[in-house]
Amino acid sequence: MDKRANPFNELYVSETIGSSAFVEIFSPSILRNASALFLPGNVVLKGMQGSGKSMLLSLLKPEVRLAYAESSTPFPVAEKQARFIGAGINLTRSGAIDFGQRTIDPGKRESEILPVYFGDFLNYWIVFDILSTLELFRERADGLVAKELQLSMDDEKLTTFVKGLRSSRCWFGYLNHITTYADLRQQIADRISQYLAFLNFNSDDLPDNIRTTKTTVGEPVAQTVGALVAAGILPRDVHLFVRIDQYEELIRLEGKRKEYGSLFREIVNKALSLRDPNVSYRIGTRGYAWDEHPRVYGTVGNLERDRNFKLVDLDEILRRRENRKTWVFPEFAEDVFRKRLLFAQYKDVPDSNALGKVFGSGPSPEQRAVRYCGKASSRAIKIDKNWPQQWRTYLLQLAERDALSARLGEAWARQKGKGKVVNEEPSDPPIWNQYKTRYWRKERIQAALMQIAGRCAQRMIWAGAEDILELSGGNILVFVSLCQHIWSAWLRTIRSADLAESDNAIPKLDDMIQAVGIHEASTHWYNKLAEESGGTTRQRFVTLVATDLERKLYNDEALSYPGANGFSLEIAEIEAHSNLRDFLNECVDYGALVDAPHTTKETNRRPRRKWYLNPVLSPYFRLPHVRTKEPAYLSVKDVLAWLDASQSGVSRVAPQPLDVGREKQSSLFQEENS
Amino acid sequence: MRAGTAAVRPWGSIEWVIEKLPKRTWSLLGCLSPEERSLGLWEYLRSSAKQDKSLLIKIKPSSARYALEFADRLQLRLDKLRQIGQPSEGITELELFATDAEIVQIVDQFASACGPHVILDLSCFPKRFFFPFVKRLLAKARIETLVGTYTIPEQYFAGVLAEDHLGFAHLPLFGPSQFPGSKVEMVIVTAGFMKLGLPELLEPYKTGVAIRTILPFPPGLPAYHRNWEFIREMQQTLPPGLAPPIRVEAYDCADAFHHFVQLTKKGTKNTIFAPFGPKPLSLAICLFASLARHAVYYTQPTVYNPDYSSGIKRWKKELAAYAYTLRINGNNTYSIT
Repeated sequence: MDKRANPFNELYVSETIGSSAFVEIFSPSILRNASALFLPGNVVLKGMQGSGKSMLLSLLKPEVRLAYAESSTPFPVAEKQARFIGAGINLTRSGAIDFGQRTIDPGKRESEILPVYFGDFLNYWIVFDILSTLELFRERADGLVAKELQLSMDDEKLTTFVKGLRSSRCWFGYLNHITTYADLRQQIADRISQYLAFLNFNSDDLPDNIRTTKTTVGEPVAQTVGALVAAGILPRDVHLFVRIDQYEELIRLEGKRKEYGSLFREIVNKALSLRDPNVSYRIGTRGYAWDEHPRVYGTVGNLERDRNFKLVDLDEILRRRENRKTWVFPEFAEDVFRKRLLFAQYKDVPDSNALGKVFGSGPSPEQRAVRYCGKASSRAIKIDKNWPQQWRTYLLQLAERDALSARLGEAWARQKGKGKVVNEEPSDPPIWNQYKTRYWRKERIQAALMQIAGRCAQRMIWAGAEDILELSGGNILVFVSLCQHIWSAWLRTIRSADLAESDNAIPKLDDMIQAVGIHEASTHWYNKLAEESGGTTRQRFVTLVATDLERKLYNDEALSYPGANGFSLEIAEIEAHSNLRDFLNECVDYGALVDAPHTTKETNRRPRRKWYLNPVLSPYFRLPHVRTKEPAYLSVKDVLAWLDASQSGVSRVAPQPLDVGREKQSSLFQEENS
Repeated sequence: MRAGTAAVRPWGSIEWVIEKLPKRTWSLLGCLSPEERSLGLWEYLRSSAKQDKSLLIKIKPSSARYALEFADRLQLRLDKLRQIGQPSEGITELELFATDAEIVQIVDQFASACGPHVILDLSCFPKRFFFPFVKRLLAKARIETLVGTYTIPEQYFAGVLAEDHLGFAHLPLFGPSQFPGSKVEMVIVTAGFMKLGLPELLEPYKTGVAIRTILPFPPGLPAYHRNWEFIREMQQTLPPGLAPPIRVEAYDCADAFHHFVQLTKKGTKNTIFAPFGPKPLSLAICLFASLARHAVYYTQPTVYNPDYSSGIKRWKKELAAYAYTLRINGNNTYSIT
């Protein structure tokens, strides 16, 4: 193995990694928390990008199932739950999302007729995909998956299936003239082709045989499965899971099509409301995107959680609670980490705590303080000119021994009601280091370290397995990305000769190398904010919020508000400002912020919600990622000011610096200089 | 009209091309935008008295951001237009997110009203407009001559040019058109200044699909730095082993087209395109994808910087604009043969 190959180069474990590699590096440890995905019943899989949605949904794809069979690797889903076939539609890549770009029936109201065509397109696409799945299972992996599932696709059964399907009234006669399986396939493909030609303006009209045979969403899918069972092709206990990909794009339709986006969502919701015993739908979506529009097309009713669908919220499952023992993410991350190292052929990968072995436990807070200060430990503290000489001398001497303790001592002296300490004989250990003040100290360590780093003009250090897990914020993509950047930083430090001589044993990575990699990863995630759809505003907003919070936290010399690396708002206030609410929800969905309920300390007891930066952005903004104490209590007005500023444009907020050096250079080409 | 077989695809400065196509008056389809260069071509035609029935389209922003700046710059253009003279067919407004049908309707109406010789000025049109415009105009037999033009600004804004893009989607009239489609074998990306949403677009094609990049070169600095940065960032999101970029002169539509023919084996490899580079190279994508029926995907920004570019470049007092002949005397100059 070439050690220069970074085991974390490929960030995503989804269909894009290639099915065979998927088999080797997929971590089944997440399955325990998402078992509903493989049980009958509709499932909405919620989570921000990188939470593992695509990875889980990939298991429903026939190509991945076949890859397991072809590599003789057991499918990671329990045998009973593995009795399913998968089919689906990607709303963007299929062209489904284009309905509404062109008038189909000029005599009819678009909002009435378009959703019906959209549903019809979905039906035919999914039915075609079901047939494709069955064909794949028959043709590949020596028919192993087909045998496992007891699929039987001989000609006689296919003919029976076609006869049965054709007779269903759901097609409104569109399949009347078909007799063979090949005819059926062709007839469905023709219909989809006609739609695509029309939507691309390659034909002037939709043919009459489509206009007069529009189907009801979900019906043909259910009828197809029924006919497959009746013909003996599909055993009765084999379930169909239908994936709807890119559901969120329906929310983002712009211009006149915004209205259609809601209607198309209602159509998808209608499919979910059918509750067919053999067919279940699987929708992957970002957190808040799902909640906005639960209505079912053609009814006044809404989809109901647990009645129409189960919700699997990956962000919630993987998020850290106060009690670390209940946090499932570390085990998941450890498994992913180990599998990546093994896949990259590293040796001596331990069965447990590989993360700890490679990244160590990171420097202690005291060691971090020393690294920030270097030899000039006095820079860790700021002396108040009114303090008595004895106290000043004490703090300076303490800083030489323990810079962090000195900084906490400085804060103690500055706090209201604690100032008398400057006139007292210092105790040993000092009051802020005693057992009875352990929580006071614990809550202020991160803010104190941040201030020491700032005062010493040093970049803060993040290193060690625990820091990496915490910065990942329960998101496996962020975790892999952090590992990727750390590994790259490490590889850059190794001479080629050393690589050649290496024994491929897993390395123990130096804290400072980790710190460099983590900072690079943080910068990458900051830049990535703008790359997401609609991300420029979110990136600007986060910049404003973080800069403001960082400045306030840094200037809080008394460390009175060490938890103000986040902010909190009254829920009632946000609900009255739907634009702000939607924007903050989007920030959470796109991984710019994380949110959580907040128990208020105010006497009015009004419910609040709090927001923090996505932890991985903390190094970029020099803000502690640890959440202690109370966040900053803000009003909607404060947050709206950030939002207004971030929406107002590049000229006022976070301008892109002009690279003056480059601008001054002459062009290589005459034309550019002229 | 018949599909041309010409291997020669004349292009060059607007002066040179117009001189080679004498005795014609031109119908211009152009974009009235906050950019100064948006009126460059129209001024040129008016001053040389070569204009025929013409239309300017004003694209209405989808966001209120920069509304004041937009109004301010647009007023300057309208003042200028009063000096130059209005086009015969006036100014029509279209929303940035007009439906495909609205876009097609506008260009079809223009194609019915215009003279036989048409100039489509791409300079300030967003791609979601000029791609379908080219496709529709080439489908009209009554248009005898079709020329695409691109006016070079004095300079581009050094910072963010466009913001808050949408998710990837195909450009109007350039969606998937075959079902069941064959597997995508190649993705061709032209490098530009900003890779808005490109990683998302490329995500499904990271394994088993050849990804080729076209690097606009020359010209060199300062655009060259931004283009290389684009490719560097793109490389970071892709598995190792991305093929080296192919250098194509930023204004050489014909050369880019030639590369597409070769890379895709005359369009037989199922290819999707992502036009992030200069407009002349996007024009090449438009022409090729139109002929080969390949899909073109883009992540459409919702906001454009009102100072996207400033000024109009001059070559010794002459308008610095390139013209690309797309059809001459009823023969299309671009074909896949």
